Order: sequence, then structure tokens, then C-alpha cells
Amino acid sequence: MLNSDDPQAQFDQPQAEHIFSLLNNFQPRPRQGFNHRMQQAPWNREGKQFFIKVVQSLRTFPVNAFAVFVIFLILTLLFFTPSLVSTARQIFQFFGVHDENSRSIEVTSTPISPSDTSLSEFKFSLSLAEAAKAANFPIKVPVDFPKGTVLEGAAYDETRQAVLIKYIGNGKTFLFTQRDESSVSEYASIGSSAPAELVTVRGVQGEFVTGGWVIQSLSENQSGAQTVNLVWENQAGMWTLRWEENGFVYEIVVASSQSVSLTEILAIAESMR
Amino acid sequence: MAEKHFSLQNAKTFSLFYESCHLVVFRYIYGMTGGPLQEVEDLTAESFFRAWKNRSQFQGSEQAAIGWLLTIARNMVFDAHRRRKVHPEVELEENWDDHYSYTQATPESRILEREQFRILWQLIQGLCPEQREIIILRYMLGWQVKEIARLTNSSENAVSVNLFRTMKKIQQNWPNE
Repeated sequence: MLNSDDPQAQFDQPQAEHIFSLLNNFQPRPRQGFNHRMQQAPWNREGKQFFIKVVQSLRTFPVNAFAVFVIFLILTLLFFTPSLVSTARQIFQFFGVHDENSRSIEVTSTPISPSDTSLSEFKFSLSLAEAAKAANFPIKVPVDFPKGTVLEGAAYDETRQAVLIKYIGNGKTFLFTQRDESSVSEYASIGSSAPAELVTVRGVQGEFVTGGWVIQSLSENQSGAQTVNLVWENQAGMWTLRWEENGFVYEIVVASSQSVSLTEILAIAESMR
Repeated sequence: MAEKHFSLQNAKTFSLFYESCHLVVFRYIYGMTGGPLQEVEDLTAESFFRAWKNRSQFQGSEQAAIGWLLTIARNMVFDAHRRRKVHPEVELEENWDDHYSYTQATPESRILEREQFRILWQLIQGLCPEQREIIILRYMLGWQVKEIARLTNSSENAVSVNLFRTMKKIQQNWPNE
């Protein structure tokens, strides 16, 4: 340390300790402006950085921001507006979902008895070749059926331009429907509580639904027209598999008092040639 | 015992690290360049900005982090020194003694001490950068020889020898009144 009695003596010949003392006493500090500047350093504003980047990107790319907003709006309308939910289901799936589990159909021609289902609406009096000729497109039929299942017959529905083929056996009824995709103006609806499952059929996406519409009651107006009141039953003993393939819409409806598994119906679908 | 791992990834941790060691970096750069103050502040700020940018490359203890930061500052100072083809005469800033703690009590002694420091500062600035660095680290920042050896990537013995020779040089060059 410096000798306060005789500083001149050390001035002439400074020792290491004296040099250390001089340097150690000098402790410069940055000016106030430097501290303000460093308050804006990146580590002091990192939390704000993300928000700033988002705002900047929105300013730089207003078109992108607008596009994101429009997509968000459409998805919100499709999935969160109750009246559009069924529309969205029709876009992304095969079946439309009915608002409730019941519906009414007015029938002006053939009278229907309460025990009828939609499967008994047609007379399956055509052969496969005749049905294909009537439809004017090649039809696919299953080649791998459970033992004891036989072809009852085929029909052609001019209204829907669809070929229907019916097989029966072992207490099960199989109704195959094939339509040209361009003739399908609307899909069959299912009840609001219907369990629908997206599945892969023959390499494409299809849908498997358990349940069906059953006739609850019939009513007749003064002009003689019948109104069929249907109700959706998950335990109706009906299972439906639908898919679209090479421009055609295919549907397999199985009606049985016994349980039918998805695996069983998929195996039949895979065997269609 | 293994040194505790110190991470600079987090902005909050880096901010605390800055608070704890920015004066060390500032004084190191001040001693190495001799001023002016604006340049010292710019180099200090740039050292921390570079450290922040490359923080993912650092792994080690807190002490190692200070060493790593001073290495960044050291490279910048040496680059700045090379850019100055002729090292200018660096005068102490006006009011430099606002940051000086006088040992002497009387006004006359203080004038003498002030003059001693001014001479010492000029002699230090006349040293080569390596010698100047060793003096600044040892006497201005109070580092131990082994810490200086670690930063300068040399042996403790080499640092001690270099320190002794540099002190001798300062003493020899000290002007006789």
C-alpha cells in the first residue's frame, strides 16, 4: 500500500504492491446511457419477442393472415354451428346424420305393412346378368360367402339407378347396392345417435354403421297416401358398410337377429369381383 | 467434486449472468483499450450480444462462463487493436478520477497520486496486448494466477514469469523526476 508519510519515495521506484494499489483503486463504470441501452438487449425482451414476431409477420404477409382467418372461420362454422354439423358430416363421411332419431316418409304408391322393412320393397326377380344389362354398367359380386348363403335374386331401381342384389342364408339377409357415383344426389341419412366408424375397405375409406331405420307406425290421409314414421334403432339388427371405388358407390346391408361383426362384412367386401 | 452445470439458454439466467459480470467485462475492455469510453461501451455490449447469440455452444460452470465471455471480449479487443495500425496515445477520460478511490488524504498527496496513476496508465497502454492483459487481469480485476492461466491458455508458471517481467518493465520505464 502507499505510504502516506512519504509518497514521493514510492513515486520514484514503484513496487508491485504500489502498482496493485493504484490499479485496484481505479474502478470505472459505464455511463447511464449504456445501462438504458442494455435494458433493450435481446435477453431482456425475449418474452415480448414472440408477440412482436407474430405482429410483424401479420403486417408483412396480410394475405396469409387473411387466408388463415377465412379457413378458421369456415372450420368454426362447419364444426361449431349446430345446423351445419350434419353438412360437414356429409362432406367428410358417407352418411348424413338426421337431426333426430325419427323421420317420416310419405308413400304414394305401394301400401306398406308395419312388418315391412326397406329390404322388402323390391322383388328380386332378375338374374345378375339382367340386372347388369338394365343398369348398363358392370357389377361386382362377392365370391367368398359363408357356407349356406345363396343368391335370392337381383333388382334394378330406376329411381336411384342402382343395382340391388340379395343373398340369404344362416338367418342373415345381405343386400348389395351398387350405383354410379354421378347418379348419387344424396346419401342415406342415419340417426343422430347412430354409431358410425370410419374403416378401410378395399384400400379406400369407408364407413361402418350399426343400426337402422325401423317402421314405428303408419298413418293414412284423406287422399289415401300413407306416411311411414321411422325411428332409428341401434339394436335394429342391421349393419351397413359403404364405400366409393372407381366411380361407383357400394353398400352392403346385413340384417340378422344374430350379431354381425365388421370383420365378417369386410371379408365379404374384399372378395367382390 | 464436479462443478455445477451452468446454463445460459434461458433469458432470465442470461440476464442475471449479465448483471453479475458486466462490470468485469467492461473493466477488462477499458484496461485493454485504454478508452475512449464510447468504444469500451460498444465492445462490452457487442461481447454480450455475441455471447447471447452463441449461448447454445457454451457448456460448463459459472466460472467457466465468465472465462468464455472474456474470451469473446478478448478476441474483439485484439481485433480492434489490429485495426488500429498505429496504437494512438490514449489519454484518460476527463473526470476519470470520479471512479478512483484515493488512498492519500491531503490535497498535495492526492495530486501526486493522481499523477502516479496517469503515468502508470500510459505505461500500461504502451505494453504489448499480452503483457497489458496480464497486468489488467491480475491487478485491476484481482484474478488469481491460475485463473489467468486458464483464460490465456498457458501454464501458471508462464503467467508468473510473464507477470514478473512485465512489472520489471514498468518499473524500468517509470520516469525519473
